[in-house]
Amino acid sequence: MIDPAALHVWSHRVYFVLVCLALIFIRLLPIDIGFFGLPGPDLMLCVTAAWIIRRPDFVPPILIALLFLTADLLFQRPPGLHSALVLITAEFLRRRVQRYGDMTFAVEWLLVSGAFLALTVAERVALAVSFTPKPGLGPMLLVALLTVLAYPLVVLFSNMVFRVRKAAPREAGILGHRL
Amino acid sequence: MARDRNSDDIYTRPIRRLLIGFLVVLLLAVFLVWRIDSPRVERFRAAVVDRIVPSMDWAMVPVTRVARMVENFQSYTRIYEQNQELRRELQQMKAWREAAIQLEQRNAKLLDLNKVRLSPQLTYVTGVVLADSGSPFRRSVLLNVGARDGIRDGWPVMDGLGVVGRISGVGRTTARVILATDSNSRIPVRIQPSGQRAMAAGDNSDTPPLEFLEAPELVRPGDRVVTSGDGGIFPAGLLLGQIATGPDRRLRVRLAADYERLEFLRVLRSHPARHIDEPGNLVGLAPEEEEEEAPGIEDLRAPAAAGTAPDD
Repeated sequence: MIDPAALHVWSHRVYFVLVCLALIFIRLLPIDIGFFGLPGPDLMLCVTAAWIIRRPDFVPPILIALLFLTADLLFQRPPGLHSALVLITAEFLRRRVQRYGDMTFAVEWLLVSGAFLALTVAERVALAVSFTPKPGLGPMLLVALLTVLAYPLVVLFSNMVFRVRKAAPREAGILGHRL
Repeated sequence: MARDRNSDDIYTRPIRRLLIGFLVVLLLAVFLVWRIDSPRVERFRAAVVDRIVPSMDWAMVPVTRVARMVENFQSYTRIYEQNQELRRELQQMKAWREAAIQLEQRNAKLLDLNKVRLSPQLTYVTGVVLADSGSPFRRSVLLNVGARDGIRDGWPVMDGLGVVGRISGVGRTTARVILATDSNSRIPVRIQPSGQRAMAAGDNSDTPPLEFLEAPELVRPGDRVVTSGDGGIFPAGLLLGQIATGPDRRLRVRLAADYERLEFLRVLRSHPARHIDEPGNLVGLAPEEEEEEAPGIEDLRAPAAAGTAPDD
């Protein structure tokens, strides 16, 4: 018989993959979804951060690496760099949550904003150090800003649709420390 | 969670850390390899795109169609303004038509006088746009024709009217087109009445600015911009667009191709395409100069060429 807690976790891992694939798919559509020429926010990063803070066991690192590498390849970004930085950011957030437990949403948003900004800066520095042609500072910061602004909406959405909430105390410890 | 940490946490944590470290190093290695040997990784990328995007096609078609329908419906609401605009344009077009007919007759006469035969090499392959595979900083589209249909890197792409960009990255059944608006796009152009040469350099905006223009005072908004044929990638005389002055008073090219609706594109099979298998050849010398000047490079290049030959 299947353990209901394990089923819960695995079904949400599948949801995570499906959400990310849907986001990639929407970006690939040959229609312009941008907001009046503005670059869209990095929603995949938002989803990853929101889920990892709520339920770290839903988002295993191997999935993050695979999905973001695929996105890198499909979106004509330098392959590997963005995914490596997202993985580091995600693990930083995971560690933070596991060590200090719950935080209010304001603190969480501040933390996530800082992480996104650090990610953007790190990406820019890495591109500069490797002499890769890089996009302008303005658009990159704009993307980071839009991503920060989109974060509460993504949290709300994953809360309502996928019921990604912080684990109740009795659930914690069943799978909370899994690989 | 932090509060009820189990005893086996002590064992899983280092393994976990090792796994994450391994993943990060692996991803960074991919980035480094891409930076060092870009063509190989780009070929891998083309193969991935080749596998994934056509398999999404069944889902893309209905979504795209619905979006187009919504767009078309929205255009009904602006129908009055459109009508007015069309009337004005029609008025202008009548004048142009008159001019065009006269020019056509004159051109036919001149061609007849010179006994010119238009080049039989200028044939094209038509492809359909599959996906708008770009990030905010990369302007490119994917076509559903690829190496199977004989597409090569570097071939120019047009819609019915003007230059759209050129092929960069060919998979078996797909090819990527770098648009003229991409920040990596440089197209050598000539400005028509004054005959000046310049470079249309994409900067991710809708109207690429002109660079290396010798005498900007001779150029007026509305002048035609055509490819000059320098560099051997684009054949001479393809229409790119018209001059327009941007808000920053720079001269820019308003593109003739309809970038809002890229659907069917022509890949021109216009020149004996040189196979690009390393970055240096993109800006390479003419073939005969290359052999005279750099005989030492030849034997280095031979194994690379042999390695890529089965791809064709």
